[in-house]
Amino acid sequence: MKRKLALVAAVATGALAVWAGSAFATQVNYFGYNNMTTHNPPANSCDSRQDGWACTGFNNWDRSGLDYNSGNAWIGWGFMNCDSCNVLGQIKTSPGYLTLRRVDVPGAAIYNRVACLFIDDSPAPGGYAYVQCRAFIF
Amino acid sequence: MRRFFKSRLVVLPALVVLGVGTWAVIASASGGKASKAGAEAGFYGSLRSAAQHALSPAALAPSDAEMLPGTATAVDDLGSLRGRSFYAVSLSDGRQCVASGPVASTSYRFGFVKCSAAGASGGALVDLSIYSFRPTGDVQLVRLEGLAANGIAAVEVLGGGGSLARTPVVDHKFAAAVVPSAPVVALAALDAAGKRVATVRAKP
Repeated sequence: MKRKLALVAAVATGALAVWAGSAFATQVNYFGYNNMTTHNPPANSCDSRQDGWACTGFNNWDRSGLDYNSGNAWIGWGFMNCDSCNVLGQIKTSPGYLTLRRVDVPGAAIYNRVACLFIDDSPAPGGYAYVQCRAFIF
Repeated sequence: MRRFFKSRLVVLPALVVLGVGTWAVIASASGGKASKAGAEAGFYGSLRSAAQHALSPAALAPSDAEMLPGTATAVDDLGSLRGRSFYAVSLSDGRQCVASGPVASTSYRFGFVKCSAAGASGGALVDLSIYSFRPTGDVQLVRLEGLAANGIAAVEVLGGGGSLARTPVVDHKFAAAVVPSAPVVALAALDAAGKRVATVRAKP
């Protein structure tokens, strides 16, 4: 009986540890994997923004991630402090993976919006980028 | 004759032990400086050969490991410049990443992680700068930093009217204390003679 109780306790402790570890970070894939183009996502996907914009709602986002899988379009990505504010981040011009930590971005607010957007003046204006845009809370 | 064989029986194993020991010392010394140095060619190989020391991937803080899109198999500390630390990371799927972060932070190393697509060999510059922008309109630098390939001596910030600023590359690293307030269009990689050898566009 004692051995059974010890086993149950050990399993419960292990499960709690796994839960705590997995609960540490929350990841939201707010766009994709999908083709980001000048018209996708459609207008108003990011509040009243034009087409080609994807974003989260405002929250205490800690990290912004972009997985640019394939394509040729230019994709802007990063944090926004307010609805009409500039994006603080980078414009990615070719496939690769980026992650940015909010506390490492000068001027990025704790309460922010994470966004990624198709750059209309891209060298390949009719192009696309097959991407997934990610937001994280630690 | 018997004494000759007896002495050889003692000397030969001793030589073997000495040789193996010397090889092990040399191997461990070179392996500790930078992981896989010399085994990789191109941009990432040149970063690794200039690495200050290797870090244990298992010793990364959880919040740093979560910044990566896969499992790290090697992490090299590339040193610091102007209060910023730089790193090269290899992933188990073969992708190569670079990262930067504040020297002063005790809670994390990686502030910005940038990974290549699988099989990419890298160019003249990896830009780890932060910009402020809209989908159309001006792009402004917020922080200028990154890593440069062999032979790149400086990085020039270009605006619509030409050069706005220039910062030296030190052991593959560049970081500026102040950035120009004027809109930027590109970063240029300069060789030792000041010739532009590559350009990374910041806006279309």
